[in-house]
Amino acid sequence: MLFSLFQKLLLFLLLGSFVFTIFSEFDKLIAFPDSRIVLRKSNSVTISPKNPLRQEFVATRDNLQSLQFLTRSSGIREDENVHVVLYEENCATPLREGDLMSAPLDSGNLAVFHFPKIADSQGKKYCVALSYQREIDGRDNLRFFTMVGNNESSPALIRGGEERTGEVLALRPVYRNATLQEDLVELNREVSQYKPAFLKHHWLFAIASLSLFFPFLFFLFLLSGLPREENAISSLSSSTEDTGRLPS
Amino acid sequence: MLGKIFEFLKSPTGVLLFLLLAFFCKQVFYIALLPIFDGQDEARHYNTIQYLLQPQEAINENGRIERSARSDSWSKEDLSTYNFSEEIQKTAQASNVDILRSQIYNTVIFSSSYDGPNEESITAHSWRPYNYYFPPDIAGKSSLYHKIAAGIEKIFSGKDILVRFYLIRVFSALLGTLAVFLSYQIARTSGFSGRASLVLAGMIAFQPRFSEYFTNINYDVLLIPMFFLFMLGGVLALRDGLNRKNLAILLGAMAGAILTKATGYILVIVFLPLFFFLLMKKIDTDKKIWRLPFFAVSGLVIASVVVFLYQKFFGHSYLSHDIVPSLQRYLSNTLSWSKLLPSSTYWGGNDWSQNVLFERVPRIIAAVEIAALLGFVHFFIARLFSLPYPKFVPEKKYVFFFTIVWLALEAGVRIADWAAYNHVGSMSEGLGTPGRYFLPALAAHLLLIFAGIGYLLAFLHLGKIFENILIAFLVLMFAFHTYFLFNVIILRFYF
Repeated sequence: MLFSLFQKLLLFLLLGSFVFTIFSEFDKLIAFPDSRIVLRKSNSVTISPKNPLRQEFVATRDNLQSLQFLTRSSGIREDENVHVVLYEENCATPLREGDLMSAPLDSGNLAVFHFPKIADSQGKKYCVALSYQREIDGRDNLRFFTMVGNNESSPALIRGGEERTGEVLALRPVYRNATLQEDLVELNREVSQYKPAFLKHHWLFAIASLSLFFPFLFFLFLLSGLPREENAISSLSSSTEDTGRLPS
Repeated sequence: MLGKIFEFLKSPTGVLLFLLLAFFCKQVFYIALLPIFDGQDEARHYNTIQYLLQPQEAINENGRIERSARSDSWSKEDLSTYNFSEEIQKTAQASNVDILRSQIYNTVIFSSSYDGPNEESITAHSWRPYNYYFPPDIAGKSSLYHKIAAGIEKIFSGKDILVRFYLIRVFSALLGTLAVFLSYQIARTSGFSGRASLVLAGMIAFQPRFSEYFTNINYDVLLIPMFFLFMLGGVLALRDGLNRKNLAILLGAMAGAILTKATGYILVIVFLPLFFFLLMKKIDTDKKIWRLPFFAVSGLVIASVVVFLYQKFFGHSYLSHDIVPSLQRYLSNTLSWSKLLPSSTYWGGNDWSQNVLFERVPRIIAAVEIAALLGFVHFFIARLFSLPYPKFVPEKKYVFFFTIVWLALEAGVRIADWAAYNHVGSMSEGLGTPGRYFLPALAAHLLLIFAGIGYLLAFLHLGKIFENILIAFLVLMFAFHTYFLFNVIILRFYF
């Protein structure tokens, strides 16, 4: 049962398209949340059509690309929508806007606002405004977790124009790097932490490369044709024809 | 010379070598991705290993702290509140991994270098690997796996916990590589072609749950290769008859499995009928005078062993009274149409990884299993009319053996669950039959699916595309695994 060239190409194409799709998706998923900000579930604040939320924050790195929020309600349902606008510091000039989405994995009600990355974000203050819409009857609000502000100068959370002193949204900025290569270096750095020397840095890079290289060789040689062999069964079953089918 | 090397690489042995290297390397990569103590009950198993090495005199009466395993200070998410060694408790705190147990929305706190913020305090090797709290939180004291792993721990006792812990995980990857090799041998010996056998081994190597398990410190990583070795002994004995080598493999695998985990006793139930079947073939049972005593003795031995095992595990008794009403209650609480489908946890799903893919993949696999089942239906009908047998699938004796192995594990796990249900009285936490319990029979399961697909293709006169279909399945499994590794595991712990 040797493969025809067409069959080989078809299988390689199938394999290649899967690998391409998976790594394209991986490229979209790459994100480095500011791990120094530990989200906490303490108090909560309600957002409703009449009471939007507004929160200021400072980006600590360049290439700000998304914001993570912790919702208290069990995720964002299909019939509701949280629209997010990211403004400059003055809360007047919009930079990015879109809808809040649930995180791709079950992450304890983590919701994410993705946007095209802002290259020179480091040290800049931003203002994020969230508004809530409900399409059909049902619950008319959504709750977000809030945390205690780090210090007196922490930008306060504003709900429907009213300032909530000492309280900030459970919000975490997420960054990327300028290039994919830099992203992979940073990922390597994170994975290397709390690992022994043989799983760190260059060793980690080497083992990751080999874990992709050997499967490639395996499929290459598996598909490029093992030598024709008599099926091992044939010596055991003399009454069967080598047609691979049952006679009618 | 180059030509010979190329010929070797193209041979089934060469391709198998690439598969084993692929499996081992991606397992080590996977091991690096998983934070310390993140595996299934991993801290408890590692604590067991450390406890086995703990000198009796290490903790004197004054240093010992009596604390129940679930004391008031105990918190499920906080490893430092478990009765683990000082080194495990402090390492868990320093590496910040508790955050991954309790706050799925956070990542650990990373530094901007290749060393974690508190890594220096861990590698200083100043915490003692001793359990000061009593009773220690361990998974038994006598598992063969823990004893072997304790040997690794002892050899590298001068190194810090990160080296020792991750080396024992690498040992799991080696055991997984052995399991993949054995699965190839099982398929090949039972009569699949070289390519089909490689595909089967590849399917196992890239099965997400199997891959995840062989990154962990857990006694199942020895139990699973023992089951596979037993299966290899079984198919060898079915092919060549009962001889010393095959009997040694069967008995060795059975002993290894039993010494590793109680689940290994299931192999005794499989071994005895197999042994008597092979013995019957070896001795001259055509003579009628032998038949009755032979069947009587074998039936008696099998029944005695079954009763003995029943008494050993369930005799106290959760199953000894009200069997029928209790079974009815258990089934009504556990059996549903969704339970008949392959569990997503068997194929790699976790509580936190439920997404569209993990909802759909088990359904696709269920469709393939139904197709395989149709193949079996046709096969049995064909046998009734003594129609010839397709050459590219194993003979019926192997198929029957795989079925027995698979059914025995299914029955064993579910009976144990039923007993636990009777003991507790309800389906509370800790009960159930997660997919990982069924991994020891993974090779049998996949071989049966392959055989069923083979019968179906033979029925449809499509036998010539059998290997192409298998490779297409392998490509899908590889894609599923790669997706899981890059777009689920990395996402979970780092993004």
